[in-house]
Amino acid sequence: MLQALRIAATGMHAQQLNVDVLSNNIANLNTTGFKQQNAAFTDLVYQNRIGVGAITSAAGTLAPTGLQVGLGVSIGSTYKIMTQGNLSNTGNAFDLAISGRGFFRVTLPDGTTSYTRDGSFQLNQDGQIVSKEGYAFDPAINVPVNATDFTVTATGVVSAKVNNVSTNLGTITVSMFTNEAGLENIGQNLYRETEASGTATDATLGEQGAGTLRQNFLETSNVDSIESITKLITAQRAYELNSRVISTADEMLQTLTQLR
Amino acid sequence: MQELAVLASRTLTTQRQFTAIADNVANVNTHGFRKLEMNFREVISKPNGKPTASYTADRALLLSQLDGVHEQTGNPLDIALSGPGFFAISVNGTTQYTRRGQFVLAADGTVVTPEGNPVQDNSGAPLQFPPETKNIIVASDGTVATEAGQLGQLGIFQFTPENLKLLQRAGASGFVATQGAAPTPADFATPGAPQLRQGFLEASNVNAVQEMVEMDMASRAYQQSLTLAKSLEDLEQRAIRNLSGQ
Repeated sequence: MLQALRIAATGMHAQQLNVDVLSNNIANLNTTGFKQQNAAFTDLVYQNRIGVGAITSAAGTLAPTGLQVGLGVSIGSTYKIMTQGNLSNTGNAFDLAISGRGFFRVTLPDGTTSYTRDGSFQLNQDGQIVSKEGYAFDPAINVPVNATDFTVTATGVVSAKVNNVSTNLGTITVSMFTNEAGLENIGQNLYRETEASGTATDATLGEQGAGTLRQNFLETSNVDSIESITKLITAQRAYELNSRVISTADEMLQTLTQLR
Repeated sequence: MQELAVLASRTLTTQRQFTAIADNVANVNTHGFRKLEMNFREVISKPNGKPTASYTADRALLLSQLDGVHEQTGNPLDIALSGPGFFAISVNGTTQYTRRGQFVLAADGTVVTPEGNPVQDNSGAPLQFPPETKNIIVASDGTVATEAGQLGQLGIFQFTPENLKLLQRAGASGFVATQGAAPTPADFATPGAPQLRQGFLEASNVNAVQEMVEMDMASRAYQQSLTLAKSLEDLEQRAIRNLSGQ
């Protein structure tokens, strides 16, 4: 009986974690380049009361089915769903979106490289392209003060007109990962390379499986509000069901204690 | 006091049934989960060859092989199976079977479960995507392709109804085959063959309403047997008191 109580508690705990993950998705409904996370439930280990195929008689007959009782549920992992977000037009020349696979590289203040799908870039006081936190874009691209008509092509070639002469300012490349879902979230829309993601490889835009760039566009969050709300309702109901199990188990225990 | 022993057998089996229900309810959102159904049997006590009482005992918990509903996730490596059959995964050198088609890519491009165990193709080898893969396409017969062409075929294995009973749960929605029960690769040419749907996951086959009803019934049965035991005890007490003339 107490086992049922514990099992239902694992259920409530897992659903609570699920709601946490879902509310983080919903909170980031409007975060540029955000990738939604999903909780993966796994059933816990099993207790064998009668093993499958246990011998049931001296003549050697075998139990055709066993007696195995589970011990509840847990959340095995949360994983990112790396589907493409919608592209929304902003009209800002420094807003870039990747249509397809690949990540922008941003150098953090501590010198390490982080990766992002958020292409809302700006210029700093030196005319260098930086992220909205002011972290340097990699490769470094400097835009002269008197430059006009800043353009980025679909394959990442950056150019501007300086004194009415078209000047090449560099080429944007992106990083590719075998397992994008294995990247670690470090906040500020940034990801860090992990052992699970594999090492980053540089790719020219439009080649080696990498996507293409869209200037004046930003990639929106890939969270689907309807899907998230549906999942939230399911999680809430599952939580209620588990609490019903607890209260019923409690009632049964009460009857037991009233026996004497 | 044979009556009490009979009631105790009922109470104990109900308690175990209740544990199974609690586990089903806890896994109402676990993808690819197969719920347990309890199977009771009658045990007849025959002292001196005369049947005097019938006890109840739990014989087995059966895995329900009903399909769960398919939930859309849009993830290219989420694959739902409809109809019979299992995916095969390699866990520490042994093969486990699962209905949970929730896969991710490992750092080297191998298709693995969220726990990191490689998924087998139709020859038992792992499936590996080249790093430059843009699109992953899974056909209804498990054929896996990228924009560069066909890569392989996911292994889908079927068990005979007898062998299905020899599957033992191993956690994380996985099953191990015991007693050397060997599955056969699914034949997609025959009618009734399993079908794969990319971008979907098979939900748990636990039906919340049914579990609630069974839970209420189990709870009532438990309380009934306990109340009955109490009345029996009262009856005995009264009998002793009356016969002793007090």
